[in-house]
Amino acid sequence: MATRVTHLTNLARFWRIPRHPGWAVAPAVAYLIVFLALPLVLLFAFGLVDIRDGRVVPGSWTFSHYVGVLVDPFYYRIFLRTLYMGIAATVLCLVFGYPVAYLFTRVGAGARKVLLVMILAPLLTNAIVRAFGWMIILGGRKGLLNNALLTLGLIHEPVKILYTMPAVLIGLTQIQLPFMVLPIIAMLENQDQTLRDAAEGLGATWSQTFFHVTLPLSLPGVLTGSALVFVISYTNFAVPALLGGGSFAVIPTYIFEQISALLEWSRGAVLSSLLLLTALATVWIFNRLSAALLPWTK
Amino acid sequence: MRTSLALTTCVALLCTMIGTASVHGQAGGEIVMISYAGPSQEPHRLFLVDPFEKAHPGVKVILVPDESGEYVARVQTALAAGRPSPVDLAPNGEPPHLRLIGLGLLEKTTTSLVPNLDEVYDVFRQKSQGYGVPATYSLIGIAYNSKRVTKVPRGWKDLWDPAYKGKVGLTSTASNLGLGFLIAAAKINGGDENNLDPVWDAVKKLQPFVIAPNPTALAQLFEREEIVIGPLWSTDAAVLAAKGLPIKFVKPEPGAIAIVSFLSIMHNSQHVQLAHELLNRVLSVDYQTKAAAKPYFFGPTNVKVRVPAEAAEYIPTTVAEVRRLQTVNWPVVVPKRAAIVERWNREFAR
Repeated sequence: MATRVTHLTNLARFWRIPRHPGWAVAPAVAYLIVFLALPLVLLFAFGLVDIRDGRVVPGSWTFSHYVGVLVDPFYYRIFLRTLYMGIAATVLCLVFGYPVAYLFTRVGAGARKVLLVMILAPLLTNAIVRAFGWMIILGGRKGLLNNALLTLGLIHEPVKILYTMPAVLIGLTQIQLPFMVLPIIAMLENQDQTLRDAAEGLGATWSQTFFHVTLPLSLPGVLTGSALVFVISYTNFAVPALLGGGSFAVIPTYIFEQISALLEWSRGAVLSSLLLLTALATVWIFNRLSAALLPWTK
Repeated sequence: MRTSLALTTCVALLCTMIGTASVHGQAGGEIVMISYAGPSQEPHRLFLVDPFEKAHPGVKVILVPDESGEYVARVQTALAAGRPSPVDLAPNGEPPHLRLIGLGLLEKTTTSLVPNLDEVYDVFRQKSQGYGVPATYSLIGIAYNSKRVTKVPRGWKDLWDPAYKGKVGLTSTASNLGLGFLIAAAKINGGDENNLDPVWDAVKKLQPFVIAPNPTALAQLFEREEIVIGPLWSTDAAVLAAKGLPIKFVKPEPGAIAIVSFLSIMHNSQHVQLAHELLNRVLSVDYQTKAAAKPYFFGPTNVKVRVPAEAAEYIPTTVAEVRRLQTVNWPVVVPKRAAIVERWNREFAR
């Protein structure tokens, strides 16, 4: 095997083919520039000009849209709520997701198949359809939840849950769970069984083994999953729009209202840019955190 | 197995592409018309588009449901780039109608192509300002669940009755329904379109209320009994009642709010001639009588239409009753709309 690889490498050198052909990524880079980088630059630019009647007013460069948002405590409040939505959904996904991932790596092949289908099931239907499903479960006196609680006599007045933050978090958690579970499974699967055997051989209890060996070694998966779930939840529009109700103050729904109902393109662009920047900043912090917390992964 | 899967995927992709193209495209005599969402779309489909397509073989009218005016941004972008409008016709309530006139997105109506305009109430015709035609009007009144509400509401002020505390549903002022309600509430609290100050405290006293993202969602809240009372479009209340739900509609004192809906041709439409025929058909006695009947109850703008008795709960049946309706001075409100929504969000966003 090794000789074969050496042989191929020599062949490549002979034909002067670079080992990592840079030109192979050119189509992807071009695609990203045209469909991602350019629109992003435009988005930033829209926040720096006046737009009237659907046209950019020529020569109207201004920081006033950014300043208007940045000096306004109202927007800080909405950003904090959005941040709360992202963090809370991430924590909930972790709390519900970790045990599932752990279970997955400890059961036989048959049970694994069943578990995998259950884990992936949320990805098989559209997020909008699932949100409507939650509306039927959570909504009003006739919703499944209230109906059951009222019939059982546990409550006398319907619980208000649809169009609240808890409803949004329930929806986000269910939809985002696979993004937390899968990276953790990947990490747990790659763990060396002999490490756990060694811990047990040295007299460690199950919980000691778990908290001192299994959990720390799975942290890279936890951080990857958390970063994924956070970013998707933090910037999510469909779930807060459907389960949060009207005037539900998080940035994605606010951007939608600014642009589609009020045609305030500049304000929408400013908020979109800030949403993107704060999401990137959080991912960066996640990366720094994982580097600091997990020196052994280097 | 693998081949068939790949084949299925290809076919599905192709269908998606064709589907997308037909919604946005202009080729092959396709007219794109914005319509309402949900059952309110049926009159457009059954009494306007179907007969029209029968009269014009080869011409297809695609109805695109859009209640929040998302299409406007698309039209604006296309026009700004000098492209034909991706939408040919759109119904708009008075506020967006005025805004779209201001933005130059609407085509002036060639009255000679719309002979039925001569049969339209003058008051509605004037409100159009020469753009589109006043196709119908809807009322904003109070809908309530007759099983859960014991005291039948009579006036707008009854929404503040402590008996309904926590069971009132509203929409934000980003929708015409919410804005219309805000004006009605301002007027019973000593304010008006020029002075909205009194209304904010009044609406605060309504808290806690449920805010639905749009009128259709508000109607769903009635259906699920999340709320028992709230301002609603007469047409939405009628649809709920037709489903067998115990939802009643009242035209509250001092008057229900009437909002005219215009059907307009978008600027730079590629089907101006055919679109005018649709405008004429939407004003015809035939269409308007069918649209005024159960279960739609669209207010007829054609003087010659006789409103069926079954529609009396939802639309005025006599000229005297039409006169009692409140209207909103939209030319005053529309320029302040963004500021009103901003204020609403600051007061009530959760």
